[in-house]
Amino acid sequence: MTPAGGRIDGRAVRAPLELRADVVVVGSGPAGAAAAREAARAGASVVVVEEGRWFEPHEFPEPAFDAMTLLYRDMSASIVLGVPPMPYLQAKMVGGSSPINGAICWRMPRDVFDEWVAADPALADALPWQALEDITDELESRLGVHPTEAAVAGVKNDLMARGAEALGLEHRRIRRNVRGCEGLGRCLQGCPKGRKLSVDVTLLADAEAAGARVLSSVEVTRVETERGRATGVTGVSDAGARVRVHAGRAVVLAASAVQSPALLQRSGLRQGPVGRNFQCHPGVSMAGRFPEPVRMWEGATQGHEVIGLRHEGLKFEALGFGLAVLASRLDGVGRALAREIDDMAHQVDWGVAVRAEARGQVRLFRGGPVVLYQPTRRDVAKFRRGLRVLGEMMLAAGADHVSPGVAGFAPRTSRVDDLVRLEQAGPRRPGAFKAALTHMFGTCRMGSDRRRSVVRPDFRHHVVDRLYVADSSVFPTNIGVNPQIPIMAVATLAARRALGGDPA
Amino acid sequence: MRWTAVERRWRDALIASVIPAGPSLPALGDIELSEFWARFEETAPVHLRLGMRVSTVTIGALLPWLLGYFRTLPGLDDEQRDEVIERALRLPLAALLVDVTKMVACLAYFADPSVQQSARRKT
Repeated sequence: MTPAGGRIDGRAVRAPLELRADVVVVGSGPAGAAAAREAARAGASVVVVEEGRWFEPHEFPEPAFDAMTLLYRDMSASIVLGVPPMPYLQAKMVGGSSPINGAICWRMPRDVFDEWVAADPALADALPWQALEDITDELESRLGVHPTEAAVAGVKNDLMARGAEALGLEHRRIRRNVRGCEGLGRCLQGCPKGRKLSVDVTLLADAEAAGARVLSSVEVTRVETERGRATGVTGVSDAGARVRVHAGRAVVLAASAVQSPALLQRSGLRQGPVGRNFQCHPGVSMAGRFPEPVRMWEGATQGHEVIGLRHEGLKFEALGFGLAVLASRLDGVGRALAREIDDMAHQVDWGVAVRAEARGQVRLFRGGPVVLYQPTRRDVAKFRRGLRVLGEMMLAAGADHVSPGVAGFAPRTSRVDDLVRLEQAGPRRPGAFKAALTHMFGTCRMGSDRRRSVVRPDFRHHVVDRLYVADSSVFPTNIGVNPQIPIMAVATLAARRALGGDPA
Repeated sequence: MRWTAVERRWRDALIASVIPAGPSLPALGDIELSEFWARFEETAPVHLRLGMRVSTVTIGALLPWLLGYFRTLPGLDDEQRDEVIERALRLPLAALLVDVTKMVACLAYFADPSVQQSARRKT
């Protein structure tokens, strides 16, 4: 009934399969890998169930289209419903988003943590700051987090430093979880050299070394409950067989802020605000043309950030796209676009991630998640402010012109006055901006009030015993920075709680 | 949702109009795209496939008539096609469709290894 140890590939599971473990973890991304590692190291038997499959570095393709079809859910064209509809990215592979993100690492910001505790003092005991710090230290060490080396930064990242310096904005090289990066600029398609220390090759490997099994290419369709307790999960393998994993001690959901609430709803567990309180970091970007070749596709994918306006909810990053995505962000269509593509070596695109106040929700439609989300007027004001600063930085760094990409506004400009006007008198409607969503939170919020939260401060579901949520859906709010390390730290605490341990 | 032969002609003309030949790079219309479209139909989510189809009918067939050309996009010369797609970019709803088409066109264009190599060689 239960193959012993190691990996099970759902593409080859053609007959019904039953497994047993102390802890079942749904999802193998930063949250799932961290939770599995902690539980396995504590001596629990662990099965991790992941919808996607394993990939080796040599399988990571260079063309964006190949990467999108192979590694991302919905060909990376998932959209939130709102005005305008906005795309968001979700990975579908072992390791979740970790193998295909920009490798950007931030610690949990203390100011955000203090906000959470001020809103719900019970979180102070559940998430002890010092425990989070200690876990983060250990995670950063394991993941080799360090600032991007100058040798691999590339022109696009150095230009951002030059622009920020000219404007007197605090900036720094991005701290990333890589080792021996060669600056190939292919983080978002997966590093073909295997230089990213993503969770599939670190935390999940640690979990496997401690005895955890990984069941890949199996979609979990339901959390099973009996007399108010979670007893396991059921799902279906890629080959079409029914899969059941029994959990003796805990079911830990770590499938993302979109998939975890959808799974709860699909399982009939609709208590509390499950799926509501969706928050994220919508981002807008600015293209600019420099006289010297930038070759945006070269150098560390994302190697520099401007953090001087984080208190306003704005964080700026150099972006690194493949050719197809860069081309789609250039001005115009037809002959105008062909000319821009021909000049692509001189083009650069930088983005601003906004700590937005808007709240949306995740609902079920035909069994799958649908995200409803609409930026507020204050969020749109941050889009305008962010674009102004991006444009000013580009011009200060020597750009010939910049292209804000805002409907109803000049397609390109070389004048700071125009950028000031964009901020002060630019469009108020979200539909004028080409925004994309990143970093999603809050849909199974943790808290002490069961009417306003889905899980308790100890990560346990308010109603169902032995059911825990460990991913960013438990975060009470968005955090304004790249969340992979805070997610891993919180998930580590969740696993400790699930096994009845003390967070410290 | 299989494409009919007529729809394919509209679609191919539309995609080709998004990226005509540049000063030193080939036109998208000169690139073999049958494998791309097969994979697109197999893997793209339904809203993207639907968006591409609506774009094809709206910009590839209807808009040229509305602009007074009295032909669909395949019947227009390069300059007229450019005019149609530029005008679409200035119409609020059509602009959204152009964005979808532009994204798909760029994916198709740079899925071709020779285009990738040529673009990378340029400085």
